[in-house]
This record gives sequence, structure tokens and C-alpha cells, in this order.
Amino acid sequence: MKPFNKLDIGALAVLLLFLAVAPYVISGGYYLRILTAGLIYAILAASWDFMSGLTGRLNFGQGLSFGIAAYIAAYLNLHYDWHPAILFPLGLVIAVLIALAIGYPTLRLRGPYFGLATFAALIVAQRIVLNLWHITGAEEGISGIDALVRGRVNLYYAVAVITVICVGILYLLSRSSIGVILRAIKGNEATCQAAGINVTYYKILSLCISSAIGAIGGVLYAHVHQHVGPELLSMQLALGIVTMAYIGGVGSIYGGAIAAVILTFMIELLRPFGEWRLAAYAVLLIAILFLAPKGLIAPWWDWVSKRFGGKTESFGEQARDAT
Amino acid sequence: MAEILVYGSVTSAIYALLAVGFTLIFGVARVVNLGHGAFYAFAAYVAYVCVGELGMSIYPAFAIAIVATICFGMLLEVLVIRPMRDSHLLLIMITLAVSLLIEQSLVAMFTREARNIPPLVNGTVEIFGVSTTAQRVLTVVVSASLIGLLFLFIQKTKMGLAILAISQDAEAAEYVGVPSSRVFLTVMAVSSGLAASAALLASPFLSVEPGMGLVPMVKAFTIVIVGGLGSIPGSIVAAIVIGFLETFISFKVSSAWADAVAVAAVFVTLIVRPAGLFGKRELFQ
Repeated sequence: MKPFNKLDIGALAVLLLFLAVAPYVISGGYYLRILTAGLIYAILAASWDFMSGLTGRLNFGQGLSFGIAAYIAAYLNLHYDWHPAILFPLGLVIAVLIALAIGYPTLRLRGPYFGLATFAALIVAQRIVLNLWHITGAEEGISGIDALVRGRVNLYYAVAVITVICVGILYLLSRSSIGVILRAIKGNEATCQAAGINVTYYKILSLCISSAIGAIGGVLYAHVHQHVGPELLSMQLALGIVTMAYIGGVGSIYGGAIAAVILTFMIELLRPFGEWRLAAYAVLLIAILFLAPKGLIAPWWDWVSKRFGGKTESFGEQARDAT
Repeated sequence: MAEILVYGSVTSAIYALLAVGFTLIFGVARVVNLGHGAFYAFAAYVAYVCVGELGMSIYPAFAIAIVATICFGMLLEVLVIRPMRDSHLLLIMITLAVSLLIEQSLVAMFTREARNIPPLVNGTVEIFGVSTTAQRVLTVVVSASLIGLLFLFIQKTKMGLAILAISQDAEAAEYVGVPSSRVFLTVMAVSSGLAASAALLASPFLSVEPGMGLVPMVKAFTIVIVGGLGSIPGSIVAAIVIGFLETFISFKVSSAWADAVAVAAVFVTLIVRPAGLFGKRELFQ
């Protein structure tokens, strides 16, 4: 199937143009910093969506590959001066290994095993990071990591380019034959098996891809914020990623990425509310799940496409209906 | 060695109370309730407010805490779980969101500072030459009695029979007139009551803070997977195994790695025997 129609290409051009001129439009470093942070979360939300959104298996371990890759990059960069050029592929390899270790025992099984096991692994990983203070700095985390590039605007452009590439790869993959199979698995696993598809192989493959892209986000995070802390492995962040993907529209890839940027701004604007703002995240997620479980951004775009582009049926929409 | 025996049984007792409640909800209502840890923290904070801020004496305070937590559990069942019952995926997320909401509300109201609630009994006792607080001993005794009572409830009462029926075949049970909504509500009340008891027993020697429910809940569901999803005897045995293993590791190796035991146990179980120690469907047998 064609990944884009004319209207999509128009919207994509507008988005890329916005990303390109953002540093000149947005005044003040503060908002540019938030946009940079939001773009990293966009990688996370899109990569979560690639596994969980397409196959319907709830993955709480996205923070695991993200957080562990960020910590390894931070530690090796700070103490051994390793260059990001080595750390990106290293993080990717480690994330794939983590994905295989978690995916192989859990994804063969039906039932909630995968979700529960990834959740347990995430929380315990956070506890271990807090306990191994001489390596990880416990609550303080690791600071003083080299910046990816010098200068706030350059850093923003580097993040924007990497984000667009990562989200683009995930989107194209989700529209390729792999994506079709993953959606089919979500629809009916038994039928896929009967059709001779190795369901477990595809689920583990999607976890590896999702985890690898998540790790790229992690290494990027370390070199952009120049600080990593135990909050990367927190339940709050894991749930935050899921919230972004849900608001964007599960299974759409681009929806979660856009929602990530919008939500990052929203949460920053809620800062005056202090501790209550994280409670707002939870309320938002509950409201979305009750009122619009298909999300907001992707369903809205499907509506626009149908209304103005004369598109009769959207593939993404079809997949979301299968939930 | 005697220390491991004493402290291990305390840890196991708390884990068992939490895991049995978690597995009961899963086995009967087929709901993965990630709000279970919120019950634990909620009960501890209600008790803290009653004793620490309102100056009540300990028994009425604990009674209020348990009743309030059961009400909270039943509200969660009616308002959140019941409308979403058909979608397992949404239920996992929404119960976790409730859990986060409770945690963040507690942070906003009480800050992250650790609080204390007083023990039910004071003083120390000596067992096998190990001197320990009486509260710890009480924890083991009360946990064992509560689980014993639960078995009696399930096997001797009409409601218990209905719970068994629903757990074995929900559809068939409904056809013969078992009121499933009332059963789910009862199970939720029992589950939240057990979690509240665990919190009130353990909080005097652990600390009361907003995130206190998360790690015990994670331990509870790792135990439930190891014991076999939905199997109550499996959960009890797995709670004992993991409780003692953790205590052993923290005494002999390092407490930093004790938490890894539960996750390692889950992965070993899923590779070697995915159904868990006690099979799948033999609930309560």
C-alpha cells in the first residue's frame, strides 16, 4: 500500500518546514529546549507504538532499553571518553540483546505475561540503578556528559534530524509487509499461525526494532540533556510514553510522535501546579481511555483525509478498529 | 541462618497477602489490577492521617483504614473496571493510571517525606535466638490467619462457592444464575482488604511514603506468575520461595541485588514452566 497520499505529503512538508524554521520562530532558549526534549520523547512514543501499537502487546519495557542505553552512554562517555559515534551503535546492540532476553521467554505465551514481565523488569532495574550508587550516582544520576554538538540551535537541529529519521523509518516499516503482518497478529493471532506466519518471530522482531530505536533515543537523551537519572526508568515515564501514543492514536506511529511534542509542552506549562501536574497526566490518560480510546491526532487526520482528500479508507484506521 | 528464617518469613507473609489478593482478582475476574499497589499506599496513609494528624488511637484508626481501602477498591471496581471489563489491554493501563493518580496525589498532599505509623504491639521477642520486634511476629501470625480465613470463606460459604464457579467458567456460572457483578465486587473487597492489612502490618517497620506500593505490587505479580496465574496455593508457595530467597540474598550477598531475585524467578519460570508452579486453572485446589 502507498504510505502517503497527496494530503499526507502536504502535511509532512508543513511539519518539516515547522521543524526547520522553529529556532527562528520560537523566541528564547527555553521553548527551544522544551521542543528538543519533546522530539526525543517523540522517538520513544513512536518506537513504543511500533511494537505495542501494531501487535497489541502492552510493553512497559520501552523505558528499559531507553534508560539502560542512556546510562551506558553516560557512564562510558564520562569515564572513558567514548564518542557518541560508538555509543549509538553500542546502545542499539545492547537494546536488541535486552529485547531478545525479554521477548523470547514472554512473547511465546498468551496472556498478560509480556506486560507484567516488562513492568517488573523496569521497576527492578530502577531499584538496582538506585542501589548501585557508586556507578550510577543513585538519585543524583550522572552529569557532565559531552554534548552531541555545540550550541543550543545546533543541538536542536541534530535532535530534529535524528527524530525525523527514526520516526520515518518506523512509519515506513509500519506500512511495509512487516507492518501488515504485525497488524494481522493484533487482529487474530491464531489465523496468522494457521496461515503459516511465525507469529512469535514477528513479535520478537518488532520488539527488537522498537527497542533499538528506543535505545537511539536513550543515547540521544544522554548527549542532549548531558544528564541521566533514575527517572528514565520510572513507572511515570513508562506510563507517559503510553499516554503519548494513546493520545496520538495507537498504531499510527506519527500520531504518538506529534502527541509527544504537544504533551511535553503541556506538562511544562502546568509547572506552576507543582506536584499536581503529574497527577494531571494520570487524569488525562484515564479520560482518553474512557472517552476516546482510539486517540485524537491520527483519527482526526484520518477524518481530514477522508473529508478533503477523498480517501475512502485509511489503513491505519482499519487497524485501529481491530482493537 | 536463624535470622534468614525469621526475616524471611516476615517478608514472605507480606508478599503472600499481596499476591493472594492480586491472583484472586485475576483468577476470578480476569483483571490484571495494577492498582493493587495503590490500595497498599492508600491504607497506610489513611492510618497515618487518623493516628498522626487526627490523634486517634490505633485500633479505630486501623479499622477506618481497612474499611476506607475496601470502599476504594469497590469504587474502583464499579466506576473504572466494570465499564472497561471487555478490554484487558485498557484495563491494565487504566488501573495503572489510577495507581499513578493516587501516588501523585499523595505526593502533592503529603510531600515525598517518609511518615511513620505506630506498631500494633510494642516490644521485642526472641525466636531461635534471634531478637526481633513483636510487630514482625504479629505480621506472620495475622497473615497466616487471614489466608486461612480466606480459604474457609471460599470453601464453606455460598459466596465462596459462587467465586469458585466464576473462576472455573464465568459464562457457565452466569447461565446457572451466579450473580457475576456481585462476585467481582466481593472479590475486589477481599483483595483490597488483604492489601490494606499487609500495609498496616508492614508499615510500622517499613516507611510510609507515596511510592511505597509500587515495589510490593511488582513483587506480588512476579510471585503470581511464578506460582501460576490465578492459583492461590501457587501464590502462597511462590511468596514463601521468593520471600526467603530475597532475604537470603540480602543477608549473604548484597541487598542491592535482592530485588533482582523476583525478576530472575519470573524469567526462569516462563522458560522452564510457563504455567507456573501450580498449573493454570486449578484455582483453590
